[in-house]
Amino acid sequence: MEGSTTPLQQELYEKRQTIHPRQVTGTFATLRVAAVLVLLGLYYIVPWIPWDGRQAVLFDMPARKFYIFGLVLWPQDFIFLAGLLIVAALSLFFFTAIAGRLWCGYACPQTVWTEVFMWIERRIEGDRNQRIKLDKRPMDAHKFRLRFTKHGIWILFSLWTGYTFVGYFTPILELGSKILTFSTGPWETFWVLFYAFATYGNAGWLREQVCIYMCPYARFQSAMFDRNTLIISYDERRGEPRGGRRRSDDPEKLGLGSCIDCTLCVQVCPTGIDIRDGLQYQCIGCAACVDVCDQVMDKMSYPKGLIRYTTENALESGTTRLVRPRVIIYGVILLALVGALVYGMLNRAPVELDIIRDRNVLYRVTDKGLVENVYTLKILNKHHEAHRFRVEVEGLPGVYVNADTDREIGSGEVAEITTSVQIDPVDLKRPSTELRFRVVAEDDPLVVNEDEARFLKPL
Amino acid sequence: MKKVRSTRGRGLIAILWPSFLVAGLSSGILFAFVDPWTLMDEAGIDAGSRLSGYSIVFLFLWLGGIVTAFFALYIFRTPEPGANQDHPREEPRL
Repeated sequence: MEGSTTPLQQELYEKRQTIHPRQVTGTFATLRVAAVLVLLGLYYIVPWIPWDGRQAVLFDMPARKFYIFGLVLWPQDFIFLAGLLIVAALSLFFFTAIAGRLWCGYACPQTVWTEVFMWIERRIEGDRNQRIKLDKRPMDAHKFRLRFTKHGIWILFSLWTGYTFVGYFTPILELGSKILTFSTGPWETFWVLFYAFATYGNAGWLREQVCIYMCPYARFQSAMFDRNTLIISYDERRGEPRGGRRRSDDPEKLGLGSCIDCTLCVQVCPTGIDIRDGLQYQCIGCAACVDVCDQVMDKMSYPKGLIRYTTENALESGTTRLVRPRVIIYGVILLALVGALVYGMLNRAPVELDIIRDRNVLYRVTDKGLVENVYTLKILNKHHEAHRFRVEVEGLPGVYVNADTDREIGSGEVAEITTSVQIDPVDLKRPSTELRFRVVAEDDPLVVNEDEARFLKPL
Repeated sequence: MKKVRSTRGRGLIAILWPSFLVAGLSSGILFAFVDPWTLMDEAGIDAGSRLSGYSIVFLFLWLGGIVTAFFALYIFRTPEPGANQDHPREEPRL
């Protein structure tokens, strides 16, 4: 068995070594902390924002309505949600082509929550060396106390995260009071615990394994890369041959490059790789190694940037092309989609209209000799107020419309309105004529929609 | 033994995770067109609330995905005859 496994297989099946990244400070670490504060801040605060007497952002699944501030989306508006997801995916492609794995390093929920979990861990168990020592130490009262505190805080934080998550789908205040009185429904409880468990497991235990084994983006992001994409890279030409030396030594005399082989870049890496081995798929582009190496270079009085954000082209020839076909194509598609989405949103009909012909009787001739067709108008009022609607028919002169519109249709309500249309046969030139139906709110001419239907006469 | 355990862990991820993603996506698409009330009614399940409808269907889809992924892994990993080196086939004795 041993003899037949390739080195790659061995690496994959190796038991995972816990990675204890060393804490890092610097420009990019500050940027990441800022991203964490903004993103998690938004996540935890947004459900508490009120709007018009309701929660500002609420994906009200029980009522099948999505509220996003002033916007109300219905199941019929699914296309917008799909469009939004496509725009999000394309933005990811666009930014990946230009700046590499920015998403992974600064914005991915996995990174963001892991950062918080590691912060908690650091506060309780100490820095990297203390944590490694603690890991090796047999379980005793001291270790148990630290572990208990850490997991306790992690679990509390996860539960709050799960509660917030469900708060996006069911009013968060109500949910809160239900939790306090232990009266949540079984599914609400299930989802709070489920999301809490996922947070605890992913950010507390799995960490970089999520990026390496689970993340689909990590697998296909290289397809968006080219030689002009921003990557984090070790400048091999400048760094090698690496080697230890005193601060006062002249590296040229010793025949050494700039890398002092302090291995700090490996110690800070959250995925435990050595960036000096070249570009690797495990690299999430967090730039922790850039920050730490710059500090070392400062201490040695060498120029910064031995490890830096750069591109393959820049490393080889010193030039990088930002505008290139890939970027233009992603950019144009993205702009077009965003434009279409915004246009669609702004021109979204506040009323949905569906016309169904009476299938049993195609037409009827009345006592007065008029031809009558009967339709069922399915009206969905997507406006945020209740309205009484008027039905109008255009397309022919002398149309008598008799619609059963004496009641108000509430916001979000669907009503079926039987409408009979009568036309003098003299006006009907063909056996089948196209009519245009218009439903309009009596008190608001902007709440309107139109649709077409056929009017049939005897042959 | 150590190796087997971590392979199992990865296998578990490969079964649970993709099926979770697909279940989430497909229930999203499904419920954009179908009201869980109607669906539960048709199925004769007394769901009690829409939330139960969503949850039951999601978990059902997830379960379906888990079974599919498990099956896929299972047939993928079945070794060719004689290739099972943990239990090598004994040489036929003549």
